[in-house]
Amino acid sequence: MTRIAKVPERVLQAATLLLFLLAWQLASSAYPSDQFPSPLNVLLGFSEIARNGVLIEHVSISLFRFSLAYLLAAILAIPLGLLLGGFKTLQRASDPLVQLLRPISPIAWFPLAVLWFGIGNLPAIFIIFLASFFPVLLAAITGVRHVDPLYLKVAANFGASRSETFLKIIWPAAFPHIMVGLNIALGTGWIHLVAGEMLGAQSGLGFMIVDARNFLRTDLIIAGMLLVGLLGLLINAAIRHLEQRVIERWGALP
Amino acid sequence: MTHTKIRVSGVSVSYQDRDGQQHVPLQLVNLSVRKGELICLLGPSGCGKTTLLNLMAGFQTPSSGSIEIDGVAVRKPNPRHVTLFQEYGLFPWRTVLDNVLFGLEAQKIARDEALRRAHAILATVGLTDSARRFPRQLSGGMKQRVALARALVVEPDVLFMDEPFAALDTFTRHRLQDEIRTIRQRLGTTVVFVTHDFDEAAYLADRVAVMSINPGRIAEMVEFAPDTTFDRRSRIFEERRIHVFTSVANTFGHAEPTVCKTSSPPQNASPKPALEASFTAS
Repeated sequence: MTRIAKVPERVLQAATLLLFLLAWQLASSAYPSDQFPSPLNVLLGFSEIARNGVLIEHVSISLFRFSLAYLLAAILAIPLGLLLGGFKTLQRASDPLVQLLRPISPIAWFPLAVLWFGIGNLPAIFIIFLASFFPVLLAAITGVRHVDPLYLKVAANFGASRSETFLKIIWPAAFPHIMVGLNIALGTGWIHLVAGEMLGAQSGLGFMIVDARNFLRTDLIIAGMLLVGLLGLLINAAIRHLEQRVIERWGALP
Repeated sequence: MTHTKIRVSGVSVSYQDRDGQQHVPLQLVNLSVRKGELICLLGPSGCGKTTLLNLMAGFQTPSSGSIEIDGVAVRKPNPRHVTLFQEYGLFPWRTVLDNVLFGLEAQKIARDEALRRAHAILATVGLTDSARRFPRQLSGGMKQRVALARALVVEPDVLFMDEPFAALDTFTRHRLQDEIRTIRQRLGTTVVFVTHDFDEAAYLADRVAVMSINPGRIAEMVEFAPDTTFDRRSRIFEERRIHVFTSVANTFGHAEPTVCKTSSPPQNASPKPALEASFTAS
């Protein structure tokens, strides 16, 4: 126990990955490679689409859809959340509606999305938007409602105006909460990217996986899945970095 | 010669809780705070001293009675009358300097002028080197100094202090008490200081209003000869402490009001005679 604890973290992590690959290799050897491809098959498939340009095309369209939908969700959900959080009556009035819409999986919106927007960028963007919107909205509402009343007392004491109180107190005080919501939305948005593209798009990582299935290219299915995981990991690392900066500035959440 | 700065007349606060029970945190309180004095509101938890302070500071309105500062009724908080809280209320996303600037920004003071004043006040409280740091990088004593600087920079004529040093260790508390004295001597600010610490009241106050509990009211008023030069080892401090202890004992029948009030009958159970006299607080 103590001896394992002394091994550097990186080494342990590499060993885990290696073990996973080994198990995969072993399991895949029991099946024909077009049913359960080995890690090497997947790597070869990966390098094939990397070289013929298919990969970069799908990745870039996926990233485009994701960024657009995510930003749109953030831009709409943050002000709306601040508004709902700031006015108790509004929040109380809208709460049942929010709570009713929130548990509906974005996937369930899909039939409507296709009817409304057809096939292409829009349904996928719509799904990712829905998946990102609610976490940010709820975080912004929570953020405003958890502003320390003492801050508001101090602001009132110094005669700060309403707009000043909002911009200089409520917004920065709620920001760490909003950051948490943005982080959650990143995860849920990215997860729904694949779903959105599987169902209603002719391009992107989700489409790539469906397309590979149609041609029975299991190596490309797994390559697409791993790519989704890898990109998700990178995006998450980027936002963690950003979050760290926020925590340095604002202090950790209470 | 001594004019009244704050006049509290016949102020009561009462409310009904969910079970329909009536609570009276303050009942018919009269108090006049003289211009330039430091008055301590001393009493156990629940005696309404913070409520009384909140009323004077305009954070709360009384159920009945009136409160005036400089002859004007208090209806809401006012930047001329700044409150210091035990929990500091510093903005964690602002540096020390920006925290101090907050009040000046709200008053639309020009940036250059605001910076000049902020730096000057930071020098006064000994925080020049910490101007660029964030509150969470500071000790409790330093945080309260920042809050003090933020209050003083707007040049208030009343400071309301709500147990500002109660969370600090004794060394830091004593140092800050000394600073309050110095600042008062220099600026002549009127200070209303809520505390439950007898020594703090004896050391800082010109007058001490001893408050009783259930209902909250001012039971005794202790007045000292004006003096801000004695130190904690002096005979004067000893005499002041005895004076405060005596008044508290008069109010509660013994010197530790909150502890054994119900569990054991007080030994010297003579209900003190001073209550009637104290009602018309000077």
